[in-house]
Amino acid sequence: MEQEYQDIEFRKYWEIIRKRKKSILIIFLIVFLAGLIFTILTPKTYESFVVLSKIKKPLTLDYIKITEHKNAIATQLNEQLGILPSQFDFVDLPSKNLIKIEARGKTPEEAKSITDLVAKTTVDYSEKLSTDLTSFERKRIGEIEEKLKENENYLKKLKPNEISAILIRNQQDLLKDQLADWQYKIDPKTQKLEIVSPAFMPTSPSKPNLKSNLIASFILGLFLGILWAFSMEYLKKTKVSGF
Amino acid sequence: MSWQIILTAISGLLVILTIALKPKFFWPLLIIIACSTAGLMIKGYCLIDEFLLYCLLFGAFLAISIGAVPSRKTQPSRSDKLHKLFFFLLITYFIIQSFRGLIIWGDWRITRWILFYLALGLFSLIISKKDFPVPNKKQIALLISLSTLFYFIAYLTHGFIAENIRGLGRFNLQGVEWSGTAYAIFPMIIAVPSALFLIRDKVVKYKLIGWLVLIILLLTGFYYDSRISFLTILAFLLISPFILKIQRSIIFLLCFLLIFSLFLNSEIGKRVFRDIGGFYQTMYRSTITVFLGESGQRPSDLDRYTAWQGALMTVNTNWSTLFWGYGIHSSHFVMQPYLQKLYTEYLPGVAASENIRTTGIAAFLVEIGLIGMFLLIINFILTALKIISQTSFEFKITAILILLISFIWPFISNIQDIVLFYLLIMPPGLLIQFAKTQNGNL
Repeated sequence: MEQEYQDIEFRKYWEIIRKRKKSILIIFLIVFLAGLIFTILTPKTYESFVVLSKIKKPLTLDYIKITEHKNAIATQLNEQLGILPSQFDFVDLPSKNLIKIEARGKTPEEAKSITDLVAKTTVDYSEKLSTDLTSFERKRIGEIEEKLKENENYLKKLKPNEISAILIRNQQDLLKDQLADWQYKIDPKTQKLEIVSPAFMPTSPSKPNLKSNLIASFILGLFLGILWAFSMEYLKKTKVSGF
Repeated sequence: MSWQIILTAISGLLVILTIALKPKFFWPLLIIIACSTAGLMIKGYCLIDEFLLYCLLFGAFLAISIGAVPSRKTQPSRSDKLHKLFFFLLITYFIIQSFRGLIIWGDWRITRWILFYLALGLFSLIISKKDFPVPNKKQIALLISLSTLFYFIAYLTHGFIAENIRGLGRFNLQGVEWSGTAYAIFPMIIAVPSALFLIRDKVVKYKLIGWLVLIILLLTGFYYDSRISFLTILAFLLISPFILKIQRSIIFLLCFLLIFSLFLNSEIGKRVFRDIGGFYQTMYRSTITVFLGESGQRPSDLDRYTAWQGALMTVNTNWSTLFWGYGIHSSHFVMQPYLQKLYTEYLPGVAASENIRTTGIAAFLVEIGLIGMFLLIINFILTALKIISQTSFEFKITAILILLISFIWPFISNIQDIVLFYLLIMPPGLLIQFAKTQNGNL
């Protein structure tokens, strides 16, 4: 690396900050106060949640990931119960094989009631999805079972040592293998959800979060103030020397 | 607030202070950030490398604002100017497409992409105008090797702890605490060649670091069953005789075989044997599908295969979408009906998710259309041309291979938001600096 490169003393930055402290303070106060006013004016929201457990987890990855079906569940909830998609969220907790449903309302009662409704709809939707996803396999299983029954009936009419009977028995064995195969294929696509932790009545509002909003406003105000001060310094310098 | 957020914020503050007070660490820190933070996740988002890049930019801006960083004295050549022009066109195009995505989908999270591409553009502007000291080749190789060594050891440990202590599978936390394997191991693309260059150094400790990096990379590839890592390692193994002596290339091959044999009896080893053919077949067939329009193939990696076809079907709706795409972030939504159609054909019984997560190339095609793809490819070509005109044969072949693999990578995984990906093709990005800078006894 080049030797000529000098380290910069912190004092240099401090001098600029001191020189432009008024503008930094003004920008900081504007942002901080804006954050404060925003926090005060934001209507209170209460949040409750439900935890669902995947009793039977699909063996094949991503066959069913209920958290990715939020839109479909939201449409159903909106049409039937008037619940908006923005009122709830899904949080996947794969490390614990759990799904968390967070729902919000204007009152603690509303938050709890929405959480319960979303949880119930999700469980029902998951079951329907499992059934739909396995419809192809179920159709094949039905066809094979029908064929097996047909063959059984036909076998009854034949003598055991007759060549046709031997052929049909061989076919029956093959069909039984196929049946087992298809039944095995259903398994990974089947998922069952169960509520392990029911919704609770929240005691305090989740939003607005005064503490985190004030911290964010403080950091943003300070950042913008400093950015402004150094931008002015930079513009002053480039007027003389260029970029 | 979680400990990850606090730790990231502290790291960001340290980056700002370091660059503001010691601007000579700009490139070393950039390399460390790009190599060792790409796959880490906070609350399911790979934002750490982006955030630290913003901090680096802010620190650099502070140093520039007080006149502590000199301007570049050398005049850019015509090819430099052309490359710069096309890179800024690409970035401007990405920003416009991000605004478009934001307007269409109304999802405030898309502002992330506006900030990201703006930062990349600013970053390229700063490094092309300001003379931050660039380490020599040996220092770059050492920085990359040490950063990736730390990163991949952490990645292996994370999987090991998940499996043996937390009672989960090594893949269970992908997308939650650490990104998917094909995404997370992207830094391997520069880790392997850096290790090879260190191995040929005269100093024993550098040689040892080089070998250690290679062993850790091989272990990671096999442990996480990553076929793109095998492809990367094998590609560099093939060109290793140009970098190393033939005996060392043979030792490299033996290391590969030895570590492979360790995993041979495991599920992974068996699966590698079973799937590896299918994987390369998939890549081949995907290419055939795209360029020749053949269909009806049934390769094993159907997800990536259908992503290709789905993306083509999505953009082929009309001329406008073919050329301009649908806007950044739109691949998550607009591909769904087309993929569902393909799933019905290829994977009966599988529902396409509402929020599609597709491969990088499919996402690029759908979001930025052919014009964006053209700009992206042009930047790859201009970087390659710049490298070819600059350096000695072994560095040339290595850098071209890095570019080639980084071009292939989006076919496997979506690496749209990895800083390192853009750093490789930007003017004057990491590869160009590596080609230009002095050897430093390497």
